[in-house]
Amino acid sequence: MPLVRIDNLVKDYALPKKYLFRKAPVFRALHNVSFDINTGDNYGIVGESGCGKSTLARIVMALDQPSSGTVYYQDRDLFTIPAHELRYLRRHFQMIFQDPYSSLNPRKKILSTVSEPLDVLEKGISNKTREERVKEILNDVGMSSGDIDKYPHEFSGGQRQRIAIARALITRPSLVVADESVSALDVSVQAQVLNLMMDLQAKYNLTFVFISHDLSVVEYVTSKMVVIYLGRVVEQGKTGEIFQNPMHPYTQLLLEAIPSADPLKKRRRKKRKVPAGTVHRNGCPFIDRCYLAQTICREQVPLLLDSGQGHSVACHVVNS
Amino acid sequence: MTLLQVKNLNVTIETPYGPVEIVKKANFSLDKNDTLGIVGESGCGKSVTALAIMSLLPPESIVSGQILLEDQDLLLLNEDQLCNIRGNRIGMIFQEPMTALNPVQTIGFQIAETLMLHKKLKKAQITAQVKDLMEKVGLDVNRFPLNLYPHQLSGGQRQRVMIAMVIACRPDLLIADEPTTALDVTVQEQILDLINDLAQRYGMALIMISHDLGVIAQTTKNVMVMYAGTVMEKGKTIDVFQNMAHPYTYGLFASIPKPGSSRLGTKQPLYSIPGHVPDLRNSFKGCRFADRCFRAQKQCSLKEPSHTTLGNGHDVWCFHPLAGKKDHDAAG
Amino acid sequence: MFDRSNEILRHGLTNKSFVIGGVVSLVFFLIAILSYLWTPHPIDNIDIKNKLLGPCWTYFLGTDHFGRDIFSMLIMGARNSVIVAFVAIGIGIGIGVPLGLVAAAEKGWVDELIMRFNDFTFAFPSLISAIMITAILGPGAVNSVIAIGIFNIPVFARVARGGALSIWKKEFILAARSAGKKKLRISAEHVLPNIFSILIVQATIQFALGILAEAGLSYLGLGTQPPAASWGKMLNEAQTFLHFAPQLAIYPGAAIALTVLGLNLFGDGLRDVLDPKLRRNR
Repeated sequence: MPLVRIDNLVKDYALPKKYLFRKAPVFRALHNVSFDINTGDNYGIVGESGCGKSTLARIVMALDQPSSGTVYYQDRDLFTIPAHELRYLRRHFQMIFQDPYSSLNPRKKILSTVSEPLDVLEKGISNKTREERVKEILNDVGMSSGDIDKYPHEFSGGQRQRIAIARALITRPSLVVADESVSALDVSVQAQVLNLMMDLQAKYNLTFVFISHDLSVVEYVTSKMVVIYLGRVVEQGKTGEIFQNPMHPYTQLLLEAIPSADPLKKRRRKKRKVPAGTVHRNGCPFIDRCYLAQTICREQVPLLLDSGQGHSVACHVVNS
Repeated sequence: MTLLQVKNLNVTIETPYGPVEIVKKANFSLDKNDTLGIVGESGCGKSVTALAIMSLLPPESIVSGQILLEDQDLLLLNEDQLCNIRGNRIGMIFQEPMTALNPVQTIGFQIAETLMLHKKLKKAQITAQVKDLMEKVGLDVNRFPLNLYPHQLSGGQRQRVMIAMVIACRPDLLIADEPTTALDVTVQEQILDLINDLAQRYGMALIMISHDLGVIAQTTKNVMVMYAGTVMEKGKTIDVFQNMAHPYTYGLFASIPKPGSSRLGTKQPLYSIPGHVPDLRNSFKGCRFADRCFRAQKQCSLKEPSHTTLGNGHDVWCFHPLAGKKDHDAAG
Repeated sequence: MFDRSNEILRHGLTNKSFVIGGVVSLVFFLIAILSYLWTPHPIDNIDIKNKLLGPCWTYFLGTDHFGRDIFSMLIMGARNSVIVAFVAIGIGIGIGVPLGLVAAAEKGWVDELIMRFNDFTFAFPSLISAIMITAILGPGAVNSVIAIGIFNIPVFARVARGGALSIWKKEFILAARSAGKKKLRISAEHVLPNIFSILIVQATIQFALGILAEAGLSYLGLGTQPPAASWGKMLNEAQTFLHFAPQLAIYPGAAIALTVLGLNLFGDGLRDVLDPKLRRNR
């Protein structure tokens, strides 16, 4: 049984109306996204801004309703179970956010910020146990237990992110979604936080979902990944394998675009010509940037097909 | 031939907590047609240095030292003379093109504005030049007419407009302050290529400011590493990045996951620099990196490090620089 | 929290309008409190023999056409203004802020309903509507307070909603939702403390407007009824004697103008002091 099964998620957003009495046009942020997350397998979700990866994260966290499809947490459908049951289930999946400055309420002390998940999820624990739990988890994330009476503005960005991690872990969840959680941090601090997350993973038996535009981070910490382009999964599989042998032209483009920190290793950019042609409404979404584009790509959206060993690609040319 | 020479640049800002030295004793120079990268973490003074060159720092900051553009000391000029230099001889590309562009003016007007300001041209000539500039930055005038507004463009396209504005007067020096930080990696690649191509084609010297070691490695020939307002190491990019001598530079490189490395395979933690970037309001006697440095000894926090020359323009400000691969391996 | 209020005070003392407005407002409040302890003369002490006196040792500012002490009436009028304005703001905050918070939390049709109701209330000029309400309910201090209070509701609802919407975009709200908290609880625990400062500033401004409205209603005879003292009523009674005793109109007029000015200055100053962004730019 997978820890989380994401089943055919579709999310539509209503756009501003163009005419008063007509239905508002919709923008489809997610197109039939499906994949499983297994316990202990860190999952990476990669794509450009606006590709729908944050929408996906919010739905997995049950912070947003999907338009269709659903998410199962250990076989329980998050969107059909009663509200109180969902509230109880939330202790098992928590989130670490991107911006350590906006994710902590500036007017609350660290004690009440970190213990917030306990307010509902473990109602009725005594103030003493609560404080002990907070101190314990603060020590785990490398902060001191004396910090509970301080306010967020007294801490640096990296320390704030540690506090945010403490808040996410206080209920001992099994799944933690990290949405761009290290991208706002300085390089030297980023490494500390990544190490911390990996240590905590071993200690608490966590499974992380890493949402990031930083591919080197995803490569470093995840074992499986999906690549999302305009709301569709275009490639999916083991992280190492995708980095070694990217099959979808979009994944290739992404990986080649990372500037190497080695000045001798000039970019291995291949000049590829994108064939011109009109784009059909039902065609592959990547077609206007694709060097492999063929006639069929203009007519049909490619399906995500397994090309062996769990490495799937949504591309007509690669799959044929 | 030297285009820009910065000598002993100090920038101090008056705050309610007293004066804060946000850039201290920065020295560097840049030849015509050359490229310089300034790399460092937030608060290291890289953007402040750029703004000091443009004389665009807020009025409460005190700037001392010399900033020589050819023979002219920019710090001695009045506002009128500076206006002649900004845009005309030094151009600057900012991080966030949405805020750097005026949202209520068309992109055509905004590109034309620099031309109208610095060159006496007829209206038809200006329109022709604006169109020409748009083509040069890769915006097809048929798809992107001049009467578009900034919000109608994507981030990458806005950055192209910004670049067109900046190169309109063919400045001698182009300063790009984190020009691609707000952009996706595929767009970043295109914009960096464009900036490099244009700099080369028009013989503009380039200062590239970034926190991203990859961006600096791929776009510059010389580099300067800054930390907490001070220069730590500088030299040819190849020398500094291949053979870093400062423990901080070493730490920066070791902190980024190597391509092909995975935590799951090695179980070994990523190298990380302990502690965090210091609060500049503190006073520093010695090296500002001392309390995070793995090679620090007593004198490091007592005396400012003098600079050591390693040859070929590779300088390091450290009492105990790393020497070659042996030290690198020992550190890791 | 404690060091924050210290910091606010330190920054406040460098802000001119905060200091001047604060001093004027403080004096006004002290006078209002003073009225409970002491007035030079009882205000219902009619002394026809000594009517329309100029300033003298017994009557600091002279007497009116019934021989009542003007200074005492001004002191009692200050108390009256404070009570009316306070209660009216209480009504506005008590109803308007929850409405605004709910609108921001629920969005959708709830938001639409609340805000359209707001627009509806805004569509009437407030003072004229207050006159209408008191005309229907009958004149009197309580009814005038209700009338003024009703028009504070949409003001606070709008300010609270605007502030709350920007707080709802913050990530700590998402964190609270991940912790299983309900929207109303999040509004109370996270949103309200963060919009507190803008509400305080708005309250100061509404306070000044409340004083003006109360004076207006009393001037028209719809507010405070005799023998209670009110600055508006004093103005009304003074207009008969405007030609030979203009001081009767000048004293309450100056009191109203000075208080309203002081409160507005204080509100402006407070906004600058509480808003760290403005603070930095200065």
